[in-house]
Amino acid sequence: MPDYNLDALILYWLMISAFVGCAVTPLVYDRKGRNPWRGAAIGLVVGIASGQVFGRLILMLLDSVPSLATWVSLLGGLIGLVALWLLVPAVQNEGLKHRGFVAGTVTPMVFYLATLSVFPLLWAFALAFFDYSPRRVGGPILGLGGDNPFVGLQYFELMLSGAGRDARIFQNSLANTLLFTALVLPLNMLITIPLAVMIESAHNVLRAIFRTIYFLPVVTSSVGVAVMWGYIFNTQYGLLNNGLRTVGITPVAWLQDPAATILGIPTAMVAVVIAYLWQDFGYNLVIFIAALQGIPDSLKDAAKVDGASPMQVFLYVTLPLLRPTILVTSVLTVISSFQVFDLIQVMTAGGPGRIGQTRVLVLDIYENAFRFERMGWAAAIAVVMFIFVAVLTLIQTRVLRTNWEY
Amino acid sequence: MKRTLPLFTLLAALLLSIGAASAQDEPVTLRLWAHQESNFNAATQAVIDAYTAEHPNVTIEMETFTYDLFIQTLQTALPAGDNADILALFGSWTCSYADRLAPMPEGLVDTTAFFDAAVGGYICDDQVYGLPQEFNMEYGSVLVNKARFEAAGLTYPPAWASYADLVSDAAALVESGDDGLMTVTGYHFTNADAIVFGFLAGILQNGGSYWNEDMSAFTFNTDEARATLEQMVELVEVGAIDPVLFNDSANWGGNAFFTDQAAITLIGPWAVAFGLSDFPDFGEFGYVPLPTFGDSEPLFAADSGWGLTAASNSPHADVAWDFIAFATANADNALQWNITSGTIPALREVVENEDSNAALLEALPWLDANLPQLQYGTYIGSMPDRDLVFYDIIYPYILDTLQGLMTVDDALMFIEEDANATFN
Repeated sequence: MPDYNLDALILYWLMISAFVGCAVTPLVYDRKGRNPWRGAAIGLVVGIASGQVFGRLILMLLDSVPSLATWVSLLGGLIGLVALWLLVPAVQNEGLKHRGFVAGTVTPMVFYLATLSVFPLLWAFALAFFDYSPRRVGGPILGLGGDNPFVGLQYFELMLSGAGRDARIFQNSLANTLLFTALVLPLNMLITIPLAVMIESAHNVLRAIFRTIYFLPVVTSSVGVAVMWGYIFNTQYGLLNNGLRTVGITPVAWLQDPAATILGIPTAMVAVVIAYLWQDFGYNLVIFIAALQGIPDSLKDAAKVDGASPMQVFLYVTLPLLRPTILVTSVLTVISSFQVFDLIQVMTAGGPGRIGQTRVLVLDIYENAFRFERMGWAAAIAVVMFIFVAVLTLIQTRVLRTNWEY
Repeated sequence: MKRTLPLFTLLAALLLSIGAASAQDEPVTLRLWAHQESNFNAATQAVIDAYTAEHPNVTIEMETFTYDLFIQTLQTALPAGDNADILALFGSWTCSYADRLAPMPEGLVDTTAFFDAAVGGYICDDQVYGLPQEFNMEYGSVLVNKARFEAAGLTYPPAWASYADLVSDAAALVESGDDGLMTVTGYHFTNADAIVFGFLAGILQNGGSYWNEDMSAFTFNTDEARATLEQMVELVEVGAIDPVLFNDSANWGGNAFFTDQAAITLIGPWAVAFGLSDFPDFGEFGYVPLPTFGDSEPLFAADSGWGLTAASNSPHADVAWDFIAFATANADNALQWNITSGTIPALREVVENEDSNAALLEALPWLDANLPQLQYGTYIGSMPDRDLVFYDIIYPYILDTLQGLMTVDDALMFIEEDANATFN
């Protein structure tokens, strides 16, 4: 019996030969005066076909030396490709010269993007309509069908109906995600915009120092940030509770007590929002500082000449001119808020409480996909999350769009 | 022709035997996947070394992954066919992977040699898909801290005659700070595993069952389950534990015990190896049997613990199974594996043979209270999704009940409803 994994080899032959085919062939075609884009397409097809045919042949011929056979078989694609490069005749077509490099660099990237990003995305959409688990073998095409049956829109109907545990947890996760986003977005803007204005008005040296200090949490590992804030909010030894004890206030189990709330919001949710804001606001801050530097001083000066106070300059000149930047940052903040995972996973793991007061959509996806191996249901949640983010982004774009420039 | 026939037969037999011999000696390389745990991995490497010493043509390469990564790797590698030949799986998961596992060759090992609870998870539709290396016992005995008992003026080691005795000691062992927060819990029984296995054991000991007759549905909304949950709530009501401060995600039992925040802790003996490696200077402790919930024998339900399986796509599944039998069914190898990994044996002979038993207790003296109870263990039963039922249904509902967020009746109703929905 062979000591190699044929399924894995077929994949390697495909990826390597396709890459070489569509990267090198355009250059050859270019030198021979042929259309390099056509060369990229032909190279891709020839590379894939040659890799599969000659890779397998080499494997059979060198069967007695399995370790050598697997390595040499990776070169199978070159046999067809070298023949192509040598045999394709040259033509005179000066107009197409020097586009080989472009075709030879773009095509492999598009191929890899298609196979490693677009295909998985489509795959996730397809999975949302199947009761798919990687534990089960399923049908012959990508494991779909058979023991991983087609369920149509059943998952989406379940989400809407709210019937059963899965749907209840989904609805709770969606509500938590929306609450998290609703808290993070305005708080982020309320902190970053005034702070950016203040930093922008500071001396150049101080500005750089502040910018660095505030940006540091952004480049810090989320897990590290979560651990740090976990200690701060720790019930028994946390910095916050020690402070409360000092002033005679009863400590609170911030991350653990499902009954503890602030203004009706669970303390665990408040805690993760604070931690998230601390880590994230530096990113928007830097964008706002850059945007403020782009606002012409003449506009502010004109307002001052007209007698506007600093607050009026901020409210009626600076803020409206920041609208395009507010659009970008709010869209980015909404997207990243919807994607929050690591911070919550480490700080609360979605708890406290049976349904999870901080259980958000991505955590629900993770738990279903990788803990309980219910990929179909997890994919359906991912599709819904995608739709929500797309719709919210569209609404923000509509509301905050401008039709002027400065 | 008559003369030449025996000659041909002899020649053919000779050629066949040469062929067979060369096939046997053919170099074989197997990959073994396991989750990362230093004691477990050292134990497995030792048994690999012993096997390859006896079979020089076989090489077994062990690759380990952190627990979460191990599960994710199984999920992606198995469908892709890029998995190892031998997979060290948790027994209770095995049937869900059965499609991708090679069944045990007929008659290779007599599975009655293992404790029923330990091997139950490896048998799917009467077919054996793996063999266990450990008996995963999460209920039956508790860790007790000698210094805490002596400081509270209680007898050590405790010999609780009834559940009421345990409740009384647990309440007496509690300590709280000036701010009113509990700093030491008397009895930590609120880890996820402790709650789930305590609940299942309580149902059994109160004379009930959590399965219907043909084991096609759960029956959690019963008088026996109600009695069990009420007994758990009683521990909270007498102040033996604050389930908000001590549970699976906050002050997990293993850490709480070895950091002196829990006087009594319900946790499997596997936790001792972890505790002693992290807190080698921890004072004197021991395991003592729990009193029963009712008047019955100390019945309990148990998972099938870690063991070995062979992948169906392995080109050397026969050799893989030979290794699995060598590692699990050979009493000497099994004993060494259990000693090194600090686990309870799955093989009856290791426990029942006096010499093996003595060797095991010499290395792992805290198992003294556990070994006599193994006979009362039964396999949890084949569940569609054991992790989902245990950790996302039973545990959170019971924890909420202990935290006073829902009633016993509501919890039982929801547990039964949600657990049965996993069959769909």
